[in-house]
Amino acid sequence: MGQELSSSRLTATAGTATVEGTAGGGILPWVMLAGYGDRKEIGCAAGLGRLSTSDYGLSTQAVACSYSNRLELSVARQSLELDGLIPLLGLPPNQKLRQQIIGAKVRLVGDVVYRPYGQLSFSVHHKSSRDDELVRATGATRTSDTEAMLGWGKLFIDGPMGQMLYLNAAARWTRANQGGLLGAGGDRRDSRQINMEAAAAVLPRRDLALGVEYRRKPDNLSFAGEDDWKDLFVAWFPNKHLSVVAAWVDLGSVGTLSNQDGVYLSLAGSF
Amino acid sequence: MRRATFLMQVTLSPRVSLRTQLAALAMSFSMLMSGCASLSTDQATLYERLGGKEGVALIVNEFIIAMANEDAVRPHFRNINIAGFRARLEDFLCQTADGPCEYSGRSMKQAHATLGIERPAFNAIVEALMNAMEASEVSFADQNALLARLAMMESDVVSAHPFKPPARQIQP
Repeated sequence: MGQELSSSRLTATAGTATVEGTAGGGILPWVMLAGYGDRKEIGCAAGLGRLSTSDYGLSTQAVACSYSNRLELSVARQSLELDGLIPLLGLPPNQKLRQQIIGAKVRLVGDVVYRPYGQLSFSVHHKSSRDDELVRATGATRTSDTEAMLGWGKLFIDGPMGQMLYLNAAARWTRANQGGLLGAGGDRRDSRQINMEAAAAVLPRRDLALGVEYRRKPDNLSFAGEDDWKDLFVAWFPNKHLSVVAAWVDLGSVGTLSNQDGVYLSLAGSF
Repeated sequence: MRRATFLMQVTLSPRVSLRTQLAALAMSFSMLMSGCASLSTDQATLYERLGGKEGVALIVNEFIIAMANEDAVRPHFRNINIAGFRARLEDFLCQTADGPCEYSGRSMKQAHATLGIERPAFNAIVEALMNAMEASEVSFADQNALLARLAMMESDVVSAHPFKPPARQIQP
């Protein structure tokens, strides 16, 4: 009784599967837990994502499940195609940078919808590269590492001009290079630092969110400078089983190649 | 509003000094703000925007039908006098939406204390209300205004203890 997959939480309030596996919005993790399960219910989400910039292509697969809207466990795989970098560095064709992310997120207190102060969540991601040699060659000191995040999120039902407004802010304690794709730590800095990230989205309808996100990042490698990430996104939730995200993402400089902006598309299912 | 637009255009003109531009900007901003304030005081109450007595009655009717169609909610209505519930709910929503009614029933906490409504059932109730307002052609902004007021009562309605359906009344 009550252990079956269930989906009682309100449409769109479970977010979507992100590139890092855990539930979130455009490309950033948010505080909500994956799937639509609430107390004593199990909810899951699985998604595929594709980001194409002028010199790179990133493919992601993510699965996350939560129990009782309290604990979420997630797994993600990312594969970065290095089209623009291969001729420059003389890398073997088809060389990719792949990593796996295992994550856990706990809802500490509150609720995104029903508490005036919103919801606080704490999460941990363990990121490990599957292309150690190349990661080390960039100057990264670690091929796997763990980072932690503390986030706050709140859906203002009666937001400006009668629309719903969702705000999310988080502090990430990390030393990951390019989100972990280039390992962690480097010659410039090898200790974790606190990076802020934030998202704001307006919901002009129950099933549609338009938002903007910003993520500060470490800059550990002298081989390749790293910029903050920003994006503009549209997320559509036709029902509780499907979500579609389209975003314009600006990654800045990645692996010595600057101006890496492009389109991100993601399709996720919840059950 | 037209004047505010005019002032905004002035503020964008490069020939005007910075100080004048800032003053005009501040003025147009305060006009916009006061315009909004006077709009909201002139505006109808939420109750009126929901369609007054008939509008609320329509929403409540749709709401009860929607709740009856929810498996998680239906058992809670066993042994409940629907006519009385309908009248109390109309009064309650009317009062919550600043209408000219007085809800004389028990507080939300008292009324739900023994019902054992858990979060999944509460979510289903919220969805039923959203669908009822949609069916009653309430605008998204007005839906949100009412939902925001009701969402704050979640902790009065939801209980941590599971629901035990009452025994069916046996008709003689």
